[in-house]
Amino acid sequence: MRKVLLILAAFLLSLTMTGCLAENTNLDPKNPTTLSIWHVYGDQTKSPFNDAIDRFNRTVGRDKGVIIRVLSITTSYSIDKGLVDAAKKLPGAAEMPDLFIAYPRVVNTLPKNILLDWNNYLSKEERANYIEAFLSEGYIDGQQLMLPIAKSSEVLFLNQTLFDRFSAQNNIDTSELLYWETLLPLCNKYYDWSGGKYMFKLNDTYHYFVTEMMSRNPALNLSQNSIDVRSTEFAAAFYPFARAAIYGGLCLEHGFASDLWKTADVISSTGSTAEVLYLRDDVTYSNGVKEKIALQVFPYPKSKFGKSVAIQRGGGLFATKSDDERKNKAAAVFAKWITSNQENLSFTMETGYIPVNIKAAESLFANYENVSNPKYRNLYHAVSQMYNKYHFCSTPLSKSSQSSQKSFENALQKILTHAHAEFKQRSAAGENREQILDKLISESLTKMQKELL
Amino acid sequence: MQRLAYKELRLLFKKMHQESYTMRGRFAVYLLSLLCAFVFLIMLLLSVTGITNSFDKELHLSLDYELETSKENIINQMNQLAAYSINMSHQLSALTNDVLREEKLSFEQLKNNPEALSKLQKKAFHNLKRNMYIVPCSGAFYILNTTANNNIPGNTNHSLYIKFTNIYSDNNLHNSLCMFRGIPETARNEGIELHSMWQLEFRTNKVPEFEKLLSGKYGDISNEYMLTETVPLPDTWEKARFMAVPIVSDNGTTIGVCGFEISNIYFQMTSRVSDKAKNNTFCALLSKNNNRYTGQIGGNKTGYLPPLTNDFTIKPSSSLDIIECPPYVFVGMTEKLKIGNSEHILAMMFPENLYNELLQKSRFKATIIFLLLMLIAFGSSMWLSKRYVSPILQDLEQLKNNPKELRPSSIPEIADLFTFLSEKDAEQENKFRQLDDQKKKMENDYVEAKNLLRLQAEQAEEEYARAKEELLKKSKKAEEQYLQTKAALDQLTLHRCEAEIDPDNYQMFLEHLHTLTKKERFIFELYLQGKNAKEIRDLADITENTLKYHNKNIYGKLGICSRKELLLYAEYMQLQKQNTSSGENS
Repeated sequence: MRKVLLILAAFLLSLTMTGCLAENTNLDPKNPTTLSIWHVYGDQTKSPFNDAIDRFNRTVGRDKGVIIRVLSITTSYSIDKGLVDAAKKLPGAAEMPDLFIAYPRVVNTLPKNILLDWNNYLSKEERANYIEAFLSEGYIDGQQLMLPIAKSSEVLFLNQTLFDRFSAQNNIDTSELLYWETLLPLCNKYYDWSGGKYMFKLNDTYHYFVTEMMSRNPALNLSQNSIDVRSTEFAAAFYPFARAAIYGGLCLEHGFASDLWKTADVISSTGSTAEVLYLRDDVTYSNGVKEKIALQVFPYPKSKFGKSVAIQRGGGLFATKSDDERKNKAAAVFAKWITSNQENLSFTMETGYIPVNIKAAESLFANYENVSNPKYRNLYHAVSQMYNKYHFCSTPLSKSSQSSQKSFENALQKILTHAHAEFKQRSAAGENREQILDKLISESLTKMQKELL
Repeated sequence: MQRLAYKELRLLFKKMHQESYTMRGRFAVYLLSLLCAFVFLIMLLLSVTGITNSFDKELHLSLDYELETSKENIINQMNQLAAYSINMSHQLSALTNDVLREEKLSFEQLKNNPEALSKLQKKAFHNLKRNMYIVPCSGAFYILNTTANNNIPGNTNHSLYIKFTNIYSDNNLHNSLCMFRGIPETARNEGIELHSMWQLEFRTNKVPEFEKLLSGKYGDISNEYMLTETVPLPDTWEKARFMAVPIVSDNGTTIGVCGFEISNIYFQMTSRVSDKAKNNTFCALLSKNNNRYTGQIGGNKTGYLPPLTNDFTIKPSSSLDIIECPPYVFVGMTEKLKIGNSEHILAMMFPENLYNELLQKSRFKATIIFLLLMLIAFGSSMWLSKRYVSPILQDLEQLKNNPKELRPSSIPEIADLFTFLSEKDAEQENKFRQLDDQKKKMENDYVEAKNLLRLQAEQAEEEYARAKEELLKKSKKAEEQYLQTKAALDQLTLHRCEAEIDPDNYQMFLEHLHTLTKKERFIFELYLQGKNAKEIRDLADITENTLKYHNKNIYGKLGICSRKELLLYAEYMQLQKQNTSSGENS
């Protein structure tokens, strides 16, 4: 009798303890794990990444018990700021997302050990599916903190419709857009022709200087170091740039070219391949009238006398390390799914990115001519022209890279905008335009050196 | 069920009183009853403190609390939005009038006048921006009942619609703006970007409530605010609803509509449940549309929030309502909310599958605790009863086996009993001894009396033998006397008979005696034995006539004429036979 009672008591106790203490770290489709994400793919437009997430939630996510919820679609800079604010728990700051898309630079701004090491959830075979160069970009401090999901390079976008009007009257060929030596002077022609409108805007002026300086001197390693404004390479890149900016054909306004593109206030720009998503097929004039336009894509402009260099862009997927192991596992499930061959190909092709999965990338470049949307066909055609001919360098990653890039761009914008205003004023006053221009370019270079040293 | 258990318990106690139960069994049952009552009390306490509460009750309380809290928060948020919308409407109305006065235009003349509209928008921008940073919203809009270009296809209205670039939950101090609708020049002057789906003007037909407000006539706008249904923001992935108020000019004309945007994501972030809420609980502010409900969904604490299609049906129930959003089903509570001129439903929901699972778990937990307590109660009863009763039983055993030499008991009552029994024993022994003495004395008396009686009996026997011998002598003597007398008497009778009897008749009598029938011979013998007529009738079982008949035959055959004669002849015959036999004997 006593034995029976003891066994019964032990059984009941074990049942109680199991119910109270056991913690399940496995994903459970009946009780799904939800992960929040901030990403950059789509901005406020209809986002192909959101569509991919919906697809994931309906299929693999539902089966495995993972739900991804998009909480923010914004720029990488906004994400950087939001993450820092969230990590510091500033009043009014959002909570840290479980997943986010960012550049490797963000690692330096966040507290140590809050990011997940993807290597703990990827097998050797799974790692072999990624393009090695993309994967290694996210390998920081001995951990795979960033997992590439889509990469891009920079290309030149052109509002072909408006450019055709300009070129027809001025006997200009689009081949002039391929080289900085012809492109930048063309801006001023357009400025004169359009009555003072910008022709061209660089989304990242810093990248222009990085690629141009490396083009002239491949020994420079600007992926690791900041730009030396006293160098001859900088001066060589600065002069044609400053001439177009001070004259007025090159836009130096803050923000993305896609903003001015909407109102036909700029007709060409360099930027990420993903910019294609934001460049509309129509423009709206100030009276509300809209016009359909054709978009053409060219390889990133290069120097006629140097090596072809372009930036390898595109952030990657980071995950916030969680005490709840299910969240970490759920993040890995999503990361593997979005970088699987078919999903990676369809997602990147909808957004203008380059796949990170080896098979998906091979498939894309072998079949881009079959892409139905002409915008995307043109884009991948341009990228394929660059693919084996350009040297790709990744964006600078150093502790001060973000602030030094910002300082550089702000100084450039301030000095050249000021010079442009002065140029306009003195030109209107009847001074010799070429002499003023040369003088302002020289002064601007000096100011840049003073400002940044 | 309880009544049944009570009844059974009563029967058990009754049976225990009536029937023979061991002391331990009886004690264990009483103790078990007491512990069971104690277990029930513990369960009641655990239930009151919520430890073993059914998940159902717990969820009811939680949902009720969350519903009330959310309702209060949403009403506060909506009141704030409404108040600022009304205030903004007054400001924008005044601002429009100012510009119209400056430009010397009527409101109608704003149509197809981009310059005047641009001037108006530049002034309105700061108004919207200032309010946006104060109130809980994701955007602000100012839509005029006019257009910059009448030739633009579709029904568009000149508007300024700005949004926060990113959505934060607590405040928007660190947030930048972008222009969703409006003049790009204004955005560039103010240093804000255009939304990637920017358009110059707003199509009011995308929000039916805007068209309704724009077409209305209003005196006082203080009560004319409303919260619209959720609509997709054109070309974007976002959905939003608006707190909207009409803008009325000095002359009472409705010139536009203004207010604030609450995007779905903003609502999700701001309308989170409290920290006390169950995981996976979330609220939704819904609007009814043809028996279906659409609206905005609030955030939950962590974890589960399925990708809902935002198309709900609500099935009221006496317990928790069933709220379906295929393929998901929730249980929850709902409450009507009136916000200005619009009616809404606030729902607080919890996934039904999880509810069922947790309900089962809580019941299982309560059952396990109950069983464990009952097991402890049962075990304790058995152990305690054994511990309590075993020394008593040992003492009783001792009493049974060796009552003479009782070891002192550890239980005072039993020790008293042992003392009492010892005293009683001594008393009994005394009495027994006395009785034994008495018995022995009585035995002696008995032996003496017995001996005496035996002597007396021997004497009596001797006297009896003597008396018997004397009596025998006397009787022999009397018999001899009797025989002598009888012989003398027989001689006398014989002589008398010889004197009375005719010898011939007597001879005839003897000769014809054998002619009598069996019956007649039997009756004749009875006469000889001295029986009277009645006795002969009874013995021969015959009637009087039959007797007379037999008498007549007997008389006729023997030659006699009366019974007296018959008896005389018969007596004489007897005497003859005796004399003959005595003569032969002698």
